[in-house]
Parts: sequence; structure tokens; C-alpha cells
Amino acid sequence: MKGLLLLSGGIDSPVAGYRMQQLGVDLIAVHFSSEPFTTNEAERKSCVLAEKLGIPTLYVVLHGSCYSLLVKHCTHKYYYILMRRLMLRTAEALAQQEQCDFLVTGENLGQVASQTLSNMATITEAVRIPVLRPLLCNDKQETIALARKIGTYDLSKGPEFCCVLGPKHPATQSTIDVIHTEESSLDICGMIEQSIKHMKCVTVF
Amino acid sequence: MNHHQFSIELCKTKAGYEATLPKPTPLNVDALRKHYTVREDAGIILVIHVDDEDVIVHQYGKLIFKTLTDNKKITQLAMKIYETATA
Repeated sequence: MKGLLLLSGGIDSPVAGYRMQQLGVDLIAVHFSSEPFTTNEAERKSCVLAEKLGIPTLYVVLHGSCYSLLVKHCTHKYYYILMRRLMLRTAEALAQQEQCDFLVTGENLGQVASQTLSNMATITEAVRIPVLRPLLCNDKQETIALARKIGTYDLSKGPEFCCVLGPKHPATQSTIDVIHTEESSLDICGMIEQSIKHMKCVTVF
Repeated sequence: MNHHQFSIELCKTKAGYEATLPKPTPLNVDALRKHYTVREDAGIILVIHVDDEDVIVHQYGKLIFKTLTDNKKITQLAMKIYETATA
């Protein structure tokens, strides 16, 4: 079976990838870049992490302009939910293109605002492809310990710009109806199509 | 406004330096759009290109310097941007 790992460059997502590989899953990876709202540090880390995990292909999707549109046209407190939905939908389109059976993320319940039960349900509703979250119930310290063990912690750590586009008080709850209304002001399909069209493919090794 | 009244320090994640005004102050982002190359425009946040550097501008006054670490150059750029955005 083949999965598409959403690789952020942070601590959790490579550990999620490792856990899936332990089950015999083949992975390719995708990194969603927020440039120019950040530097390319997260992209660089993602390349290094993909190599460490033995993932041969990393796609880099330049999503900064899409995130701009979310801020301009939608209610700001829903930004992280809308952003995650867009990421999943873009990843789903890529997974279909690459014949992947599922998506893999490093999401952990309750760690950040978008990762409450309510919001994760709303986010997952965006796609039909299965989304596997092997770290869902991990304690953060467990994840860090495993990251150290597999050698990804030192590659992931290091300062990165926090999300400058995010709201000060993000919504910790959401309903599908409200989010659909927010998305109705956007051409989501067009954004996904353009993202896939302009993405970079990095052959890791 | 006194353009010299801003502080420069590392942002909370220590990834880059930021310039902050003493209190949140609405900036004239339209003036910035006219004056500088805009790399990305999210309405409340712009990424402008000034003297070969990308600077993230929050509409309420915070500037984030993506790669600059030279305090003198950060100060010069911050003054320039605040002068444009508060004229």
C-alpha cells in the first residue's frame, strides 16, 4: 500500500511517517510551503527529513498565495481550519495522481486550535480519501522521544516563523455548514488545480 | 508619529527579527503597495520587497524581517517603511 505523507518540517510529521513505514507502507511526501510569508527553512527541513526516512519523492506545493486568499475573503478565526482543509484537498488531488491509497499526517488531538475533535471532524470532511493519523493520541513527549530515537528530532528542531497569517484567537470549534459558507466565497477547485500545476517535484535520492 | 520610536527584537520563535511600534498603530498599507514591490498581499498582511529584502508587514505596525540579522540595516529599513506607511 502507498501513502502520501504531509511533511511539514516539524517534529511530528516525520514520526508519523516512520510509524506508517513500520507497518510496511511505502510513502511519498508533500510539503506545503507558506512562502513568501516564511523563509524556505521548513521546505529545506522537509527535504532532509524525507531523505532521512528514505522517502524518494517530495512534492513542494507553493501555497502562500492561496493562504492570502483565505485571509482576504474568509472570517479570520476559521483560518487554520480552512487552511488544513485546503491542504488535505490538494493532497488528495496529488494522491490520486500518484495512486496513493491514503494520506498520513502528524496531527495530534488537542495540540493546537485546529486539532480539537470538532475541528478535526470539520477538516476531514473536506476529503474522501482516508486520512491516517498515527500520532493522534500520543503524548508530545512520546513523539519527541521517538523522533530522537529515529534521528529526526535534530533535523526538525530549530526556529521557524510562526504562522504570520493566523488569527490571534483561532476557532476551537466549527461546523461543516459554517465552513462551507466560508469556502463558498472562494474558487477552491481553481486553487487546487493551480497548486498542483505549479508544484515542484524534488527527487530526494 | 515619531518614526524612531520602535523596538527591534527576535520574534517569539526566534526565527527572525521584528520591529514593533510602542502601541498597535494602523499603517497606510495602500501607501506601501504604491511605493514598494508587493510579493504577496493578504490584505491585513503584506510581503514587500525593500532593498533586496523581504519584509512582512502587519497592518497594525509589526514588521518581520525574514532573513536580515544586521541590526543597523533592520533599523534603516524599518525607518524607511514606517515613514512611508505613516506619512
